[in-house]
Amino acid sequence: MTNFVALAARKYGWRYSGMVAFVIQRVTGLALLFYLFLHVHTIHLLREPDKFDVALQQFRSPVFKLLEIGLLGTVILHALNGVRLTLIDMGVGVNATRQRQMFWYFAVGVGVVIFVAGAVPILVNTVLK
Amino acid sequence: MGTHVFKIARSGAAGLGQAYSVALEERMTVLDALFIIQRKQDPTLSFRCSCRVGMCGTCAMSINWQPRLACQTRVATLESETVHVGPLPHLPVIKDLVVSLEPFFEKWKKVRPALHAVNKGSKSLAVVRPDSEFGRQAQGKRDCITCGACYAACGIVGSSKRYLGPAAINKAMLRLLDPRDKAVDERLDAVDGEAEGVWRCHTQFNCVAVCPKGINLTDSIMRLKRAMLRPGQFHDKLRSAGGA
Repeated sequence: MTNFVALAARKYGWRYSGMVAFVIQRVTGLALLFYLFLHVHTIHLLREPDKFDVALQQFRSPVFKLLEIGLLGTVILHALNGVRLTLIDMGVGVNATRQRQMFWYFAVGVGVVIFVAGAVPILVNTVLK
Repeated sequence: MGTHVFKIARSGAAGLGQAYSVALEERMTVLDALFIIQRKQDPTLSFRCSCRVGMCGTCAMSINWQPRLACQTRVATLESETVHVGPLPHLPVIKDLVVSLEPFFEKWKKVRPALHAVNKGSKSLAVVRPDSEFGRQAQGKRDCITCGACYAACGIVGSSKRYLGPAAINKAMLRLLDPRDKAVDERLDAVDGEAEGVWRCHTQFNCVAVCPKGINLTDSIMRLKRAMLRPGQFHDKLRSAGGA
């Protein structure tokens, strides 16, 4: 019995990289938009110094640091895939293979390296401390 | 070679389709399997085909959820014992695997696909040299067989009924860059729309992934996008050809 999901991921995941990249760009974009509104709204509410200090103390808790790591990953993926899209708009790598490489090797591959470099210090110095 | 199960979407039937078992023969294509099913198991099954050699684009259908030509898809290459066959998405189904290509060709007609010659009365051949600028840009882009696979695979077509789709835009790009053609303004009007034109493409590359002729349709759209930032160049070609 063939597992259709496994087959689709193996056989079509590479083929439809552009679609995967599009969906990721949309989802991360909407997530960042939501975060931006939440961020501005939260800061807007913290007008008194005492409340501001209390809130900042809460933001230093492990839960918020884990969310911060998630934010870091979202920003990196959205930014690097955005660079890929800009290059495509400029006519660089507009072919089936090159755009797939630009997504998987550049946006995801380089993104993972930057993410690990940023996430590990946050994890070690705050959550695991 | 083993037996394969073909789950075929039937008009009016619920679920993922009606199942038929077919004994696989060497080099059998999905179209061969459909003929076996129609002749030996269910004569009511409807599908469309013509040339059987990947030239006409008539047998385009969704095979394992990917638009392909049935005559060019060997069952063994699908690496699946169950083969899901359905009509092309984004197009109205007439019956079973037969879709109406009317929406596709309505948009195709909008870009004025025919050549509107600059020198209509000329008796001499208007040759496009392969090493000319247009010859180089058009290389590999002229092989479209209007099968509708790119249209069916495009996520933007799925979400916007007005979007022209990759095949029509590719044709518009070829005509706009063609130094022999003069219908510039009409085509620019058709492809410049915010909702229906080139600007709606989100470079998903689905059209490139499924095109049975290997045409880089996204490249055509991106070339046209960049060219339309300086639309005067399309009129330049007319001036240099003495048509305007």
